[in-house]
Amino acid sequence: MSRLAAFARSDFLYRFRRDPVALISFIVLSALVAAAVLAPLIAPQNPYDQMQIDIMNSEIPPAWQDEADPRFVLGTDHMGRDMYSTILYGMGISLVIGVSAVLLQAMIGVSIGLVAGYLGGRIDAFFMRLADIQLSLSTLMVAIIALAVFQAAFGSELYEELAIVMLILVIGIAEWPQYARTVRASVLAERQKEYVDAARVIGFGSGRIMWRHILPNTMSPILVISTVQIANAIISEAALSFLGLGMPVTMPSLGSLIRSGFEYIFSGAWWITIVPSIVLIVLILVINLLGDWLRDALNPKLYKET
Amino acid sequence: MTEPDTGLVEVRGLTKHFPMPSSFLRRDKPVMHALNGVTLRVERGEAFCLVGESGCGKTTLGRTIMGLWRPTSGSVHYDGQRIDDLNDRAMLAFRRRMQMIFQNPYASLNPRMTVRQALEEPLRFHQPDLDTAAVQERVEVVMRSVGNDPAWASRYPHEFSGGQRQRISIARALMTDPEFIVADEPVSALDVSVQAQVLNVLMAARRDRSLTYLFITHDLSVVEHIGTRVAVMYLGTVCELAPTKTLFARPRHPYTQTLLAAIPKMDGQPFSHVKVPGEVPSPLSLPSGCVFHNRCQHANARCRSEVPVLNAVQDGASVACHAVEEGRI
Amino acid sequence: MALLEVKGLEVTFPTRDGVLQALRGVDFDLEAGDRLGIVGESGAGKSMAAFAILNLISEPGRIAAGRILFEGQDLVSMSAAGLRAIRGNRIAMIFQDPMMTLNPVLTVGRQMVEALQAHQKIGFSDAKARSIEKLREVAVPSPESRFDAYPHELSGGLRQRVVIAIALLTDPAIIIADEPTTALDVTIQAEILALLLELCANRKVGLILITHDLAVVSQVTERIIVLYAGRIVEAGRTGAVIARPRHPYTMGLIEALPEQNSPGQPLNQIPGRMPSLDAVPDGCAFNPRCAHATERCRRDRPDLQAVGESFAACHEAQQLAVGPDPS
Repeated sequence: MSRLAAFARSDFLYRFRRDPVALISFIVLSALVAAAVLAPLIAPQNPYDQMQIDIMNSEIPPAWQDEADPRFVLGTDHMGRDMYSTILYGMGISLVIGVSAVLLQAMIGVSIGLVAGYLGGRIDAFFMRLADIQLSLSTLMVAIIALAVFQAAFGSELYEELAIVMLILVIGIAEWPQYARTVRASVLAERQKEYVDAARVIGFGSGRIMWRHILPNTMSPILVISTVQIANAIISEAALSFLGLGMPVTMPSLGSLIRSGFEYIFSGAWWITIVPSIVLIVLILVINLLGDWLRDALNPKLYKET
Repeated sequence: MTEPDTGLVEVRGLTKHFPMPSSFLRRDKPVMHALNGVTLRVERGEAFCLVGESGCGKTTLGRTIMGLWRPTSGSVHYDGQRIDDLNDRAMLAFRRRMQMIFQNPYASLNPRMTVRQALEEPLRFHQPDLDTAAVQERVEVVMRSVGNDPAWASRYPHEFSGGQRQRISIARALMTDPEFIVADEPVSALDVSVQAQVLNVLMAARRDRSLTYLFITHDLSVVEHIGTRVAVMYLGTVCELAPTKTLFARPRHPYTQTLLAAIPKMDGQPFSHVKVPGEVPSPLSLPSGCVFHNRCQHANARCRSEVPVLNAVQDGASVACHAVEEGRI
Repeated sequence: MALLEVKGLEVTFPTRDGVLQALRGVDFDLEAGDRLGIVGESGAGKSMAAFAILNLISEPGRIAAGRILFEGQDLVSMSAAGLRAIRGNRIAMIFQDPMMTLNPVLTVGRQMVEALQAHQKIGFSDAKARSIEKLREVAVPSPESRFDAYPHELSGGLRQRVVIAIALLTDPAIIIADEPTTALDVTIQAEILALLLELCANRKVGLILITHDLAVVSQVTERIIVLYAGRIVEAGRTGAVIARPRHPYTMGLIEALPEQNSPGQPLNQIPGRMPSLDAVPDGCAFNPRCAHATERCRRDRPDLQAVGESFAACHEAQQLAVGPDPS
């Protein structure tokens, strides 16, 4: 049967369909991602286009309160941007940074983990010590330093253009040890198995064995930590933007919105902080719930023998 | 180049020691003496069996011959040429001719590769100029020859039973048209009826392709059925080496006698077992002299100090035992 | 009344495709000091039978029907507390891998004392003395020092002896041994089997030996039952079944052994393989692989009937038996 048909009948999909938490999380996540992707189409306004914003519209409350403006369903922020649009675009940025940073971490971390795990010896020792050093430095701390230095050195216009790339690079490079360690542990286990010996006996070189034979068997742990890492990357970006070091004021993400609304929280315009916070929490929550489910689903089943 | 009077595979004084992990502060680094000076020859067309209990070094010997491990000392020769000191490139030419089948059917096939991928890969690697059609045809031919249905090619290993997986592993080993196959306990993990099927496949393959086997096993009834010559190993040394019939009819080494006496038989006689005194020594600290001396009722002072060598006795057998040499038993 | 009577045991597993029968209609008895062998290949259900006796079948499997009478009491309907008093106490179990029984982070001694104290009110020093005595009984050398050893410090054979010692601590009436020597070297296996035989003889302990190795079962047991796809296909005195098998499956199993074939000749093999539990054929489960199968075999499931000195679940058994006696 074709791969798709096999998947449709698989235990994996069966268990997924029967688990309400996983189903709901998946639906919510899909809705959020769809909303972010379709933002240019469904948002009433493009909040990053300075021409569309009027500061006279600032701090208008959400639609269910008095003094609301029907144009702005969730109200506006302190610069006059429509909250609803800004949240949609902001989620898009969070997701782009989250996924890209994780792709970068994965590329670096998986390569290092494979090589260290398979070749062992001094190479392994070297990379693992490097990973230890990297892990002892908190990602946030490294990010703050790197971004602050960059902003100071290159000025704010350049920073605005490169903010997304910088965030992806910083978060991506800081977290490679997670992947490296996970993959290395998997590789160490797989290396003992006889199919690796069989490949050596046939005459394949180390490179081919690592990438073609062992790597596919380390995919499930990689998938599992990827969901957690995406959630972490999104939180890291939100935290950095909250601290003023992430996305610039003209291109706010969820974190920047939370920050900008912070001063107004007790003076009445509470929605500027609360609404994006709720969206961020829901996004992280569903990603984590799906990750938990994935970990349990992939865990004991895989090589179950009769 | 090839000397006509050497066997297909030969090992001379092969020794393999594994350093064991130890704490940084210990001065004496423990070493596992897996193989201690093994010398033997496998002739073309033979089904040479290597038997022994766990820790005797038979698996180590098989893997060192195949180049999975480098010997600590001694040499491995294939068709007259020395192969243990070759680099990977030079070894490639030999890899085509030497293949291996492993014990665990659940771990010897890559779970993420289809049967087709697993079988095509060695062929494409060693004969890159074959076109797709030729490769597929060969895969089909080999699969049929081991009793596999070619329709299985698109499936994954976990869809098959232990016996079927072993046959797929055998097919994989046969893809490069080898001359020599090391079979490391290929049927130990299988049920009796499946064992019969797989053994039949192995025997047929040997007959049809003029293969030479090095069969590693602990099951003496299998040895008696398919082996031409047998080497009995204990703690990394060869105790006795003889043609199969001779070994079973007249085991000479005290360890071989113990081994044969311990096999449960189906002859309806009540079970009577003579316990061999002492414990198997640890391979980390081998006894001096003959490795079996602390459990042997015929041991004398010479056995405790001098390592016996394999000496030929009549009817084609060789025994490494002072007592046999001195005519005491 | 026998010490242990199993009647009509049925074990099932619900799956998304229906309910699978792991065991069906299994009956056997055991008296004190008897040695019974349960023989079968992987998937036949032999371990399942052992686990069922002690009600250790893990969810979602369950004992769907049948009674297991131990000293007159039905274990299937017994309370959890009642079962705990019997498991490890009156009926002990030994597994294939000693590390399934032994906790790697506790010393052997601690585990033995713990096992004793779980079933009896006994102080530490008395428990220790008893444990050392048991270790000596199973021929563990220097039992006093082994008492303080960790499992990984012992060889495979010694570990299995320790496991047997633990099983003997409470002087059980029955020991169930599930492939106890399959993972051991042949010389160690011989020692463990001799030990089990001696214990049964001296202490009148009933033994249920589960294995796929016909040679082992023929040396150690007095009666055997042969399982195939969850049902008994043959039962009887061990010597009789091995020498004069009545069911085609048993015949096939014996004929497939290397020692029954001439060296160098292809081994007699049974075509096909044991059906998985979700694909058991109608009629006799063995019929697709049987050279003697008739239309009736494909339709009606045979019951166990007396054939010669044994019992076989085969419609053709009488016919086959009338032919020249192979013994």
